[in-house]
Amino acid sequence: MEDAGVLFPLRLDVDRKTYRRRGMPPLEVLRDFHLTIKDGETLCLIGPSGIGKTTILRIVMGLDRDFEGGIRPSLHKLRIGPVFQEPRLLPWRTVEENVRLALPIGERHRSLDDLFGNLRLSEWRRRYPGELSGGLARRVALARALVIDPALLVFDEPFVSLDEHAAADLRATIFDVVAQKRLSVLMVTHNIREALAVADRLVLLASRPATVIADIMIPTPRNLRSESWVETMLTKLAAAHPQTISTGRAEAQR
Amino acid sequence: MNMLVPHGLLPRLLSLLLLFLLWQLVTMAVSGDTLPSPARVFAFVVDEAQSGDLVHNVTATLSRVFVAFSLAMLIGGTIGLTLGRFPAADRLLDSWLMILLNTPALVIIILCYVWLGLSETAAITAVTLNKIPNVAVIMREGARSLDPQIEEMSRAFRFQRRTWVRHVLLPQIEPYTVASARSGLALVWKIVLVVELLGRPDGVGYALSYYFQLFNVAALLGYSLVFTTVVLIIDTVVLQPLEAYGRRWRPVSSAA
Repeated sequence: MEDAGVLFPLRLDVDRKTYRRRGMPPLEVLRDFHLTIKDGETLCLIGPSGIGKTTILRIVMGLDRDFEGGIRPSLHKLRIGPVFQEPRLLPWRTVEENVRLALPIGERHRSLDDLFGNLRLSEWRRRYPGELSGGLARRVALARALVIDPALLVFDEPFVSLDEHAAADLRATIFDVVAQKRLSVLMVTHNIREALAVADRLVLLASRPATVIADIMIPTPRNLRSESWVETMLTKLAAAHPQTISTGRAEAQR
Repeated sequence: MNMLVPHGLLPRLLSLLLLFLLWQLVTMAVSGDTLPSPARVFAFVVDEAQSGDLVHNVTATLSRVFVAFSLAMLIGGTIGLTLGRFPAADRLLDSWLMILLNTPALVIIILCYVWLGLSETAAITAVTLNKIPNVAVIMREGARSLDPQIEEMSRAFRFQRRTWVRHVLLPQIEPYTVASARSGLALVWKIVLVVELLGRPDGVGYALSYYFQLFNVAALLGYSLVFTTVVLIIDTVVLQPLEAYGRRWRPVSSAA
């Protein structure tokens, strides 16, 4: 196992990321985008839809290598636990198999009782993903990301399309584990309330190509962030960054 | 319903019974040897089985079917998956595939016998070549239909090649494999008969050509009946259970 001190701070530098398709003008989605993630930090990237947040995650996950810039430490030294917007489980494998398959072949037979117990998935281990509710399927996706002992958990809008109750439940589950294991988290969201509830640091993005317009530390402990605290913060942020954040009801309902 | 009887067996048996009844009625209306009655056909089957010829010929044909079918699935599957995954290979080989797909089976068979001699190798090659493009086209569709989101997931988790093949690729192309296997079995055994008719000293195709020269219609129908039954049994006992096993993870639809 690598020493976490060597891995962090994790540094992502994207000088330029352009999508090229034949017959279309090149589309520059990122320019001079720099991000540092510290050990044990939960960082939320916030910005309107379609400005390249997912592109950033794809680069961090090693799915997109076609960009100018680099990541330190290099990605093959870093174990990243990816959680996609949709659960992306293998429907033809059971819950347990889905989780085990994330492990290298030599480690597949170790006991996962603790992990499944922790995430309240024990009774679902032998079911197929098609039998699970959206919230449960995401918990399985989370288990799959956790089983590889990641140095960094990466979430792409993990609560989208869940009802409020299921989203709150999943959020509590995730951040219990994150606190317990002192994991570092990179999360992308357009829901500022959600981010305010969990983040240690907010990075606000604006316009295309996406650039960082604010980098805000939130020292308030998570358990002290009441609803009124979230609303107050939101009002302050909206006043300072009207182009990225609105307090409007429409945003709240998403 | 009895749990041991596969779903839909009863209606199938009834419809077969109806067919035999119809056959019997027509034989009674038509005179002469052109259409023997079911009883005469069955009598021939019993005779031929007792002499040992039936078993010998059916076994010879079945083993050719088995070898050609396996080779075609393996080679055609590999070609199809390659073409589906690599567009460059597809652009290069697509027209070859279309040519082979649209070359009459008879032409391939004759050419194989001309080039390779009247041998077992030529027979198997001819059948395999006839079946390969068919498998390749179906498997190419399978490879093209791989879920891109799952592909991305398996890359993000850095799945090893072995894991990817066994748990990501194969389950996704499984329905295509079964489809090509089932349609393939039907095609292969028909072509094997033609190959046997043209240049083999045994097998069902040889027997058919022999009895054709004797104008023994009962024998023709008898062999055809026996062989169709054997293939139906293979389909029901081997291929359909395989398909059901491959589908076990799919949520049961309310209609079932």
